Amino acid sequence: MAVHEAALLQPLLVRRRARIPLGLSATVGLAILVVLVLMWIWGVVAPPRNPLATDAASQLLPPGSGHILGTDKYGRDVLSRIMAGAGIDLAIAIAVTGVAFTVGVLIGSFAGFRGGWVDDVVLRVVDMVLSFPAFVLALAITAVLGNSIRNVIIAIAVAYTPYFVRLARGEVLSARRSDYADNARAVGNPGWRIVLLHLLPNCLTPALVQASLTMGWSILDASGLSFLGLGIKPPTAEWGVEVSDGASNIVSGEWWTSVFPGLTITLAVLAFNLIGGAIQSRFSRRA
Amino acid sequence: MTSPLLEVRDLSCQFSDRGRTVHALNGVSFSVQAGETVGLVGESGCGKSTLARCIVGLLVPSEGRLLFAGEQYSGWPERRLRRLRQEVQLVFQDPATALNPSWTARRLIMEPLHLHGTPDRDRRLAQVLDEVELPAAILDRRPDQLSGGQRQRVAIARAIGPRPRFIVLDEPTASVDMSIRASLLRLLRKLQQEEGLTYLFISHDLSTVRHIADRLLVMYLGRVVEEGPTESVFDAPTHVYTRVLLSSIPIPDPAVRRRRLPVLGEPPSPTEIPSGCPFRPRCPLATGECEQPQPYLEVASGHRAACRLARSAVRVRAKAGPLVDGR
Amino acid sequence: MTAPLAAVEDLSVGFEGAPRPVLDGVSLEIPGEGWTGLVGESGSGKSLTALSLLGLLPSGARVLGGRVLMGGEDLLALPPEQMRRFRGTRIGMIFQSPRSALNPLMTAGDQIARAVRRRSDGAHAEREALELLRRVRIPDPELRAAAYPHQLSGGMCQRVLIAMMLAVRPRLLIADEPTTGLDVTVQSEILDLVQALQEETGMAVLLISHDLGIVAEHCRQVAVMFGGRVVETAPADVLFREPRHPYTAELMATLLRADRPVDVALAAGAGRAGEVTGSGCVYAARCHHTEAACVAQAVLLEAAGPGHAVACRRHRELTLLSVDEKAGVARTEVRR
Repeated sequence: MAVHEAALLQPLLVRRRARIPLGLSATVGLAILVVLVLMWIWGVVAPPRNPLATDAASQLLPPGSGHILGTDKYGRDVLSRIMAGAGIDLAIAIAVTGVAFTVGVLIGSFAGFRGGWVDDVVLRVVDMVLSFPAFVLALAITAVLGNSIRNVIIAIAVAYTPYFVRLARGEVLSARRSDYADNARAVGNPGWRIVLLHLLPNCLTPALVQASLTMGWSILDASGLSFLGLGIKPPTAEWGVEVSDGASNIVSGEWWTSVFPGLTITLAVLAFNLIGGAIQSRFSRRA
Repeated sequence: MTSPLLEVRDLSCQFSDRGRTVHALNGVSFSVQAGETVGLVGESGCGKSTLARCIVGLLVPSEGRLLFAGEQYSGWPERRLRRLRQEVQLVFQDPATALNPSWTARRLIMEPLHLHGTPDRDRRLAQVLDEVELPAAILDRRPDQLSGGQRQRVAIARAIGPRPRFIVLDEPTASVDMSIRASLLRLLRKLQQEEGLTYLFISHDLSTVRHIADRLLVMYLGRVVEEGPTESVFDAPTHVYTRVLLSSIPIPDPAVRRRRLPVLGEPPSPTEIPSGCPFRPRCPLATGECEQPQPYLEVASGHRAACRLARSAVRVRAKAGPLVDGR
Repeated sequence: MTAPLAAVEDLSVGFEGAPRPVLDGVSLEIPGEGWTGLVGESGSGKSLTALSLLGLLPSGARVLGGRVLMGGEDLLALPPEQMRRFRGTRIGMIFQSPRSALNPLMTAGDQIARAVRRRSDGAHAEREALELLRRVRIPDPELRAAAYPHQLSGGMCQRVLIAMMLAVRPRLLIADEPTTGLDVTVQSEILDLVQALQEETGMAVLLISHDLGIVAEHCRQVAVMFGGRVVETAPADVLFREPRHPYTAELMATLLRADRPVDVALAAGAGRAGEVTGSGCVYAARCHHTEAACVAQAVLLEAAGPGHAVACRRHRELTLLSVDEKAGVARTEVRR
């Protein structure tokens, strides 16, 4: 009887997600991330060329000696620009995620713990914000605030904070009913201590997974904004800007100016997704 | 007679669950004297866990009063209750879920000492550890790195740290291996003497309860149906439910053949409480009289039951015979 | 003595990444009739032994050696399709959490009917399902037949499973902690039902439990497991009265009985925790009678009487001791 079999396996199984061995995806993700960070550092310390230096004589050179990844239409070295872009995009990712995580988890956990009208209000606000696609919202906010790195960070952070609020709230809501939360109260803990010291540490894993994903998405959003001409503008070396700059050249066959920055975006997002997935598999609750 | 340490007067507790009202407690009254161990037994749906939580202030009762050392505390706001928490503690059923999985044993035992301002915390920690017979080596381990018995001892250490007077133990031996059960009971009794504790010991396992409780309360559907000294209740179970309950306990001795008393159906859900005696729908000896609210009738000294059979107790006991044949 | 219905022969099972095998040379015989008990604490390997009989070891578990014999065949060597047929018809199982053993998307009646159809042609499967529900004394059988598992209590789910077993009529029924978590009044009923089922079909029951009370009541032969090995097996009355292995003695000495009005104060010797190391006796770290040879050399089950086998190299000398002494327990009996 198939039913029995399924049931028999239930209490003894450790939940496994990845069909690829766990170590592999985490290792690949981390490896990519390490490469990107190294590129960032390299770009700061000793870039092959100045990412902003134009050179009319070297326009649109294909990848080869001298310029490993070629040059763009202004004669700038693509590789150096990607390295500089790493600095900007990773910094945006960290800033956005840091803000969204901290603010979101704090609001969400207190709302979930208090319940009542506080929770209702928070929930409605979160629902409202979440009804906009994150990118569209970031777009709108950037348009209002103006184009600068700081505003891009604010805009994207606002778009992603509600995810953390909802996540933390959900975790705290269920943890609130757990035995150890009751025990914490029975022993004499006031509410805020229960949330901060008892509940939060156990709720962190999903938030960390979300944080990893948010790092990737914020890079996508920032690049997307600059591709559209909002937020970060040329000549700043940012991956989205580079893709945008080189878009028109693809038609004429000079693919490297857009494709390489685009690939880098892809790899970065992939890395964060893999890491997020690895965190989830590694720390998911065992039976 | 000295005034009791804990008094429960006419306690009722209802809450709604998925649209239906659950009548977890329906007028429970009893008291506990300082230094004694009162055993609370009953099956699922009888309200014992709800009662435990009301007593320690985790749940607010809908009606009735709770008094500790003569002072009423039911109805107190959370802040005031926190002071009571030093005196009244709860040991949960399953230490695996009741202990924060990411905290070390040291932090878990220290926390209540911190919260209630116990002086000389480090010495008290060592003292408590010694009393629950745990080695200092476990202090840096997390709950999942401890055995079931060790976890339960950490839970007990956490509870007794701030020197409470009254401890509610909710099925403390249920999640522990059987070879550890007896030694855990011995530990609890030793602690009771050394620290001057009073226990309310909640269990569905009558074999365990018989070995620790001075007095027994038998609960069914939110009411106490029988109450009395442990030996008296075991010798002369009066309420039909008590008789059925006692006869259902398996005896770990192949030479013993017990006679099981028949009962209809299964433990009901406390969403619909029958009028009169709550056990009436399942009782094979119910009569029309049982539809009326049942008064407590005296069976023996300190032993009473809310059952008409109490009136004819002597006669019926002779008919039902001893609990187990061949004893 | 007649040949056993099923036997586990020197079975060893390990998990990937675990230093020691979880089952280490387990040998067990299940006679063709009556109840056989398998007792042990959590982690002793009793559930895993049952699963190996069913060929349902969890993923990550690998058989390191030994055989599982039934009807002359090694179940571990059978192709999965054949094993599945075995499971559906010759071996049945009821579990600790009966609700999780039922399909949450099918009504109780449908699931029983499905079991009925495995045995017969199924023209009247639904009607038979209802009849089976009545046989297991479920209140309001028509109502329950149309109910889904989440709408039924634990005890009722267990009755549904027993009804399915009644339909399947296995040759061997494995009951793994079937009443743990159930109220004690329901527990008696469930076990009585299984007893009735056993008497009617003449099947064998393997009762796995940590509750020595129900084992004493129903089982003729009992095997005791500790640390992945069978340490003793004996007829029930012998096991309870004169346990040979110190671990069995520990279990018996620390029993709490509801029919005895005595206080038992036990010395701290009981329940010593111990780590299992090396190839010696699994119980060596916790035993009060360990010698050097116990730790160094492997211990095998040896005969100690009719139907009685013990895995202890000192069991003959230790017969001089009382049960309490074997268990290392100092008892103070105090009458209230």
